[in-house]
Amino acid sequence: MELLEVKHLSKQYKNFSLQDISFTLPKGYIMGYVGANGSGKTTTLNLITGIQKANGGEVFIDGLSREEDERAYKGKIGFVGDDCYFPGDFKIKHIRRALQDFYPTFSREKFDGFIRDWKLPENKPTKDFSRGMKVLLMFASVFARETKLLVLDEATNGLDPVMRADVVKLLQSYVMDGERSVIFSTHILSDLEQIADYIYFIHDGRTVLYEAKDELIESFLLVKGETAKIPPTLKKELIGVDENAYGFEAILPSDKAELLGNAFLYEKPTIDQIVIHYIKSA
Amino acid sequence: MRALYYTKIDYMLTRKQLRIVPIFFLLALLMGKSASVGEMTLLVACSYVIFIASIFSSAPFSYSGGRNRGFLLMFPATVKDRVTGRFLFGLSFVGLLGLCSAAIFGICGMIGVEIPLWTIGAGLCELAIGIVLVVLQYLFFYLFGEGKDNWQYLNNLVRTVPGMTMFFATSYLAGDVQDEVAAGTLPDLETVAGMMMRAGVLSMAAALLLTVIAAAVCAKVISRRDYA
Repeated sequence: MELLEVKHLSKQYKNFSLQDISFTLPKGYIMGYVGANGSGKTTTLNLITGIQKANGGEVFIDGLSREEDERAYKGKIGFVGDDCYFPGDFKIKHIRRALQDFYPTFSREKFDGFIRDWKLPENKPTKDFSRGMKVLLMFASVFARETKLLVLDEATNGLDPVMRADVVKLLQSYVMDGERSVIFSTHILSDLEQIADYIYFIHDGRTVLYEAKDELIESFLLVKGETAKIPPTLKKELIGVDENAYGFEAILPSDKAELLGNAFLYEKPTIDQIVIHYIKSA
Repeated sequence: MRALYYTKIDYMLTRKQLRIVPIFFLLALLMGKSASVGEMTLLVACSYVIFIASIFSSAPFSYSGGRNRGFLLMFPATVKDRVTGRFLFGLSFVGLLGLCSAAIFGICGMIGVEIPLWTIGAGLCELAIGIVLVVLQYLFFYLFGEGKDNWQYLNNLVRTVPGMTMFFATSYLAGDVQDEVAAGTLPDLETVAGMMMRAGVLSMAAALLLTVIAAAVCAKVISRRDYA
């Protein structure tokens, strides 16, 4: 059963356009939404949350579109951005009050539990919180109520490794019941290796790759060797050739492995390497 | 109901600014107390209160742009809820300061200042004008200026100039009318007290109708926009 369905989403700006983005995310899974800066990641996530309006296409969360019932649609989403969206003058008590009003499923006990466990200061305005505290506060506000889809926009950026590991664990437990899903954009691709089930790679507003993570890793090889030894037949199949003093590094679709012969080293690439070589080739 | 939650958030957002409103109220009360030198001063005190209302009622716009916007936009509510909530904030704030004006009348009456009946009708008219000023400001912010940080200078002008103009115009007119009544070129205003009261009630009704229409227009227009 699909939790998130994105169909032919498009958005036009003067100097950029997001074109025909389509994917589905089943219940209980995590999707990593990756791409270079300015590739359209935040725009896509904003179109999903409804903060921005699409020029074309549709988004369904658990079968419901924003146009059908905006209140119910937004109620299903938990959003954590790279920037703290709570007003800087607000203290935790103000945020708690607002969340209590708007979300019938908001649990004060859960929220206060997170605040206690993460040692977030009750009496400081959020503008005086550290970057990590702000992110944790956004997570507390989301995890203290019932949501179906967690949308994270570069939420783990700027967190120290310990805190990032905690967040990764939280995301894994979030989808554990098989009823909820997560879509998150990040620059830290090692996070994706750990938890993403699907990878959607976008570049310049267009889809480059969209596959289950394990299949994606299986479908490429990381190739290294001497540049001079690359035959023309192989050269046109290599993606993102990175030359240096010692030779080259590139990725190659696994089904072209027979072109390698014995002259090159190859291994399974990481998500990081696939993305970097694709960006290089663009 | 969700509109009221947004109103509540607006009060929380502006709580620091609102804390200084009582100071202005005291100033207006002092102005009203000096009505012993002329009953028109009561109306000037009211227009001062309205001036304050017009400045502070647009304060939430300063807090709902930029990075704070996501907070308001992510709630499970419609654009209509959000805009209605903001208009209710403006209306309730002007209403609260209207009550402050009534309190000024009451306190001044208790300490012996004579409160002519016609000033109550005129006070209602002032309150209605105050609502219209706030509605026009909201229209401007929603249709042109919301979230445009580089419009800060213009936004500040829109926040202050209308109320200030009303305050100075009332002060000027009040002096003029008082002089003419004293000179006998205008009839005693107490003779038109009934008419003034009717005008006050009608202008309040018109101001409230305008508020409803303006809120609907703003919600309709901004619902098509990004970050709205």
